[in-house]
Amino acid sequence: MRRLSTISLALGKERTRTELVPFLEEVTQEDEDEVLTVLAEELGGFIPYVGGPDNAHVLIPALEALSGAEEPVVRDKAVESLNLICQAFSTSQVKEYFLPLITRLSSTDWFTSRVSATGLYAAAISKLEGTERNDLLVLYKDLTQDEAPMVRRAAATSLPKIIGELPELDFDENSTLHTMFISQITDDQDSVRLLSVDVLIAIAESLKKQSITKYNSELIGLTLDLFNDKSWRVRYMAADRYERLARSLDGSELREKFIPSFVKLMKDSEAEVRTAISKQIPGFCSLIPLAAIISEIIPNVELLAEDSSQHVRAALASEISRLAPLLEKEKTTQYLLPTFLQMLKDEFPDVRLNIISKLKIVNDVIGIELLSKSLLPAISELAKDKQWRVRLAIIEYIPLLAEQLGVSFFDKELGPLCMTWLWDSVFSIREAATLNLRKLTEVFGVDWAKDEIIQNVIAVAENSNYLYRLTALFAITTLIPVMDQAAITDSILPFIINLTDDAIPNIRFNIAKSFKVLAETCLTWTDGGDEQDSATTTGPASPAAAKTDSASSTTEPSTGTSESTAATANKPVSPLAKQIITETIIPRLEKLTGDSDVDVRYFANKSLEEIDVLAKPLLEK
Amino acid sequence: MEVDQEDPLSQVKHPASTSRSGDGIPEIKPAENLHSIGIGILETWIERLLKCEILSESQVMRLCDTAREILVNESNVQPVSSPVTICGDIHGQFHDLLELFRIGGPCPDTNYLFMGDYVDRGYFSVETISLLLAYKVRYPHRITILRGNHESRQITQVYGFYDECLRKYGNTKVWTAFTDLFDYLPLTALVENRIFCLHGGLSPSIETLDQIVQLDRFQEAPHEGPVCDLLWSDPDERSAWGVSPRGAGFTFGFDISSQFNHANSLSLIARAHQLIMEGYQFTHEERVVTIFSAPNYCYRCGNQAAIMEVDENMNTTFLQFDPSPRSGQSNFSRRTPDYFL
Amino acid sequence: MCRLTTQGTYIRVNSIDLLVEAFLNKDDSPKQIISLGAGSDTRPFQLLTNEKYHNRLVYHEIDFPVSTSRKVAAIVADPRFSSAIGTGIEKSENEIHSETYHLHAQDLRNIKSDSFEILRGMDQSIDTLVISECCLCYLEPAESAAVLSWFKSKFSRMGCIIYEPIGLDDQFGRVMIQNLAVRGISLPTLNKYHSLRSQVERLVALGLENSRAADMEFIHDNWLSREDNERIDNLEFLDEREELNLLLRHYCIAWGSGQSWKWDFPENSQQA
Repeated sequence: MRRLSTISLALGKERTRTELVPFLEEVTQEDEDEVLTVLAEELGGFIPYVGGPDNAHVLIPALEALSGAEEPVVRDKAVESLNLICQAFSTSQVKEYFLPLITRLSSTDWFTSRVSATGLYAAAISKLEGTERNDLLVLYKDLTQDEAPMVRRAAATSLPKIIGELPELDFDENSTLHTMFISQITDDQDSVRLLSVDVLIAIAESLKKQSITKYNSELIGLTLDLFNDKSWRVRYMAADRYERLARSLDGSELREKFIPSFVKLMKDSEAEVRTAISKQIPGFCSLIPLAAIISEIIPNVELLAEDSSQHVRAALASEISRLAPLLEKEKTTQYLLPTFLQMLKDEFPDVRLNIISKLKIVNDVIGIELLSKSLLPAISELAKDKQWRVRLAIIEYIPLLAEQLGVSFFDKELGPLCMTWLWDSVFSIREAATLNLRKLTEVFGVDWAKDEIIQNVIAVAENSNYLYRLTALFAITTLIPVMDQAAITDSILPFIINLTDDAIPNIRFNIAKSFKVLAETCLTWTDGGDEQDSATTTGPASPAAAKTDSASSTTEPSTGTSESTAATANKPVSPLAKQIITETIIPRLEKLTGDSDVDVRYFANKSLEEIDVLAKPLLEK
Repeated sequence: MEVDQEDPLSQVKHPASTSRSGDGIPEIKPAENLHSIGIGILETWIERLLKCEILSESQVMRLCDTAREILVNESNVQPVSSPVTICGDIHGQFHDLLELFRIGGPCPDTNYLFMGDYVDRGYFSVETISLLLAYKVRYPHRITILRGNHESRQITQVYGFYDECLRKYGNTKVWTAFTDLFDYLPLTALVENRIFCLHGGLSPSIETLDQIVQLDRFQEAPHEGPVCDLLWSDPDERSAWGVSPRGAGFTFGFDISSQFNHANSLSLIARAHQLIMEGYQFTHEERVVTIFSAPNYCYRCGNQAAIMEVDENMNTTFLQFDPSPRSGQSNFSRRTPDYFL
Repeated sequence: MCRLTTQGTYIRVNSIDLLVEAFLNKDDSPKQIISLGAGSDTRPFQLLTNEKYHNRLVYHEIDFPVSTSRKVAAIVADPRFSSAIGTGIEKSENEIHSETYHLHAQDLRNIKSDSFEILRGMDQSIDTLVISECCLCYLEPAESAAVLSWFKSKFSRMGCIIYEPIGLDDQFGRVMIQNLAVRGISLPTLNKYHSLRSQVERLVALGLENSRAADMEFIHDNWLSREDNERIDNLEFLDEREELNLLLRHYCIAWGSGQSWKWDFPENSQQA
């Protein structure tokens, strides 16, 4: 079936029309749903193969048969393809072929064809005007009042698209559209009523675009009916689209009518409804006065933060931060901060995670100092959270905190935490902790790292569990590019050399990788002295550091080696660097190329080759 | 029957387009040996698989050919060094396999031992087995992959892998290549002579590890006999051997494990095969541990998954984990599981 | 997946058969069974052709018109069904009535007020068994309680069998509720009657003092014959054993009767 286009090309247009298409019509009667789905889809692209739009009508019988299939996927594809054909048709072709098709499908006994029919009106209406268009609408009205709920649902689903095709909306009482909508919104099946929410939005948005306001109060009344529907599924749908409904009906009545119904939905008996409305809070609040937010909405936000359903609380947590810009600093501190803190302690991890991941918005409004003072206890708590993704979210937030808090406050409150994460049982946390240390070094400078980190990490080299040694190696390797000469020669180099003979091959092949990073960093040292020092204390200006910033892997932090060395290529390499590379790094790597483990040999050779490419031009100077 | 919108057919296009565009790597004839798939090519394959994109049909053929050359030389009781991280069933839950690597660390930095059942049930069996094989070929010493009872022609035709291959490649050649390869997977592994690892459990026809070494494993998993038992058996609270409710293999009691461990100087039998709500469970007074690494198995069981880290001093640590946030998304699980209502 | 479903169906059908037979065989008095949301169930045709119950069993099935019209068509089309329901057949588009069988096209939710009339052919004086196999669980708890109350108030000699999922308030139950919600299915009673105990309390509150419940895993292990279970196990590999047991633990049968008669059924239950 997928090769139909090839077959039809081979047959030519004439034979495709006279032989292939009739054959395919027969196929529609028997084959399996999967095949029919492909057929229904392929036929939409068949217009060129039957000789262009002029002959496209020959495709209609096969697609008409597929439109009546039991399988919804087949029907949907057939409708899509018929709409493509309708688009290609001229107005006269639409009248000659498409309108009769719509009429036939709309009056077929079996409901599946009538369901498909609902999907074809919008395309036809876009091509027609005047009476013909009105006749179609009247025909559609019958489908919206069909005896089968499946057809009524399909008719309600397709109606917004049809409304979008109508240039002037007539919503007078007894107009076709009015009748259709009223029958949907009063349908005895809630599955139909809930679809009327989107129809209402389509009507209101179209009217707004056409600057017609005379129906507004009726529409607002109907909207309020939806908010008060006895079925929670309808209320859910209306709550889920609250902001759009409110925006499309923007007017003087909005405030007095909509605020009470919003508050009512916030207190709805069904958790699903409360979940939906929680997500609408910031959007709706942006439409109403600040005083109303504080007097009407905020007290109920506090109630939702203690909701018995975790899903409600998680939904609230994901959106509530966006209230901060509306409330501004003072009122956010007064009204929102307590809720944040409470939700950070929520027993459901998604609630905590949602609050943390949006903290930046709050931070921008009230400033880090205020935020961090109130948040620190919560953060220390979350740093040990059972869910590793919560811990991860906290780690990612740390550099921002560090920058704003300053070194002394940070060391006292958060420093120990950063070390704890390094030995987490989850690899991703260890990895994030490693990157975090480097970001902190970029903030606080090399001396801080030497005092606070390097010694602590290196001490682990003696640990009997290889995982600690490996993690220490990853951490140190990640830090190498932002370290100064003294730190490297005094602490890092001995640490790495010490691990070269480790019993575990995984350590040894990572040592091979670390040697390359080390060599690369040494090559940035110039004869005149240690430019690294000044670079890192003023900020992340070292070329190697800048380069590796984006690298997510801790094992191979540097990729674009040619650029980083190019920056210093015109200066002679310092004798110390030359000495370290030729007397320490290369001999040890050469030793590793004779290792018993194949992966160690591979990575040792790879590092040697890379160092050779990097260092040769510089060392020869 | 109601078929979900995103189901099979939308997938059909995908493999065709991949095989047409390829990945820019020149194709090498499948007959060529291990060294003919360059490391660079393997690494691009791994990179692509990690993004959950399947290999082309001819690439799968080459991958299987190369993997076979490695696996044919592995023992029925493949020796493995510590440290190593031991994992249970994956069952095509590819996004949860990626989560497993996020928890345990990436290959090759972490050494892995998988105890079978890579395919069936989940929606990404092709991606899962392709990635594990690519790792095996790229880093044969860093990863060990054993055979599970689902690595079989018969079972994969019932539980989804066959259909998935057909859906993703449009023919059954890839399924044939994978299932032919399954005959070469080792049956068991032995970590530092102390921890005996296998998919199912013990067999009444086997008393010593030497007897396992002697078995001929290069065949379709049989319906009975020692090879079948190793893939199908379960530990049980009742002592001695029992009839398995699964219709294959046996149940074995504390006395059997105790005797087997003693006779072979083992400290522990690590096995998979059974859904465990907490992801792992000791039985038989800590002589047997069951490890299950597919969280929310079949997208419906609500269970945690676990892996067991064994360090170089043979200390063990269990890490439990939940489904990857992605695998929970409904656009992903194309079909919600059946409940008999 | 199919394997699990067939196993589940096998266990459900056989265990409910055991309860139904115990009800029918407890004495020789006339009996009636009223099955709610009967769907395409064929139990009535088997029972009505069983000589043991000739002239003393009337079977009622109630379902939506959409569903009963299909069943009418199926009965008319297949002589095995139409002969099973005996003589005096009258049929319309979506109902069928005979001396021993009545298929009622009704939205159950209408059956909840006192004013609802007894349906055609129902006898308020005889032993009556109301069966809900995954039917009442689709209603809101208040509605399902009202439906059962109506039957209890109209049929003084009523007993009841309910087969439905239970949430158990555990991970599997929570995932089950989520997955069903994705499919647009909500089972409101799953939370309300989430355990065996709450199912029994539900029946006792209705006035069925002699009520019991057991989950399907227990029933599989204790009610069905070991030979049959082993025979079924060996038909095919069943790899998803643990999954099956998990599922079975989340479905239960609750059954009960009031003072008028007692279930003569082995005391095989987990919850009384």
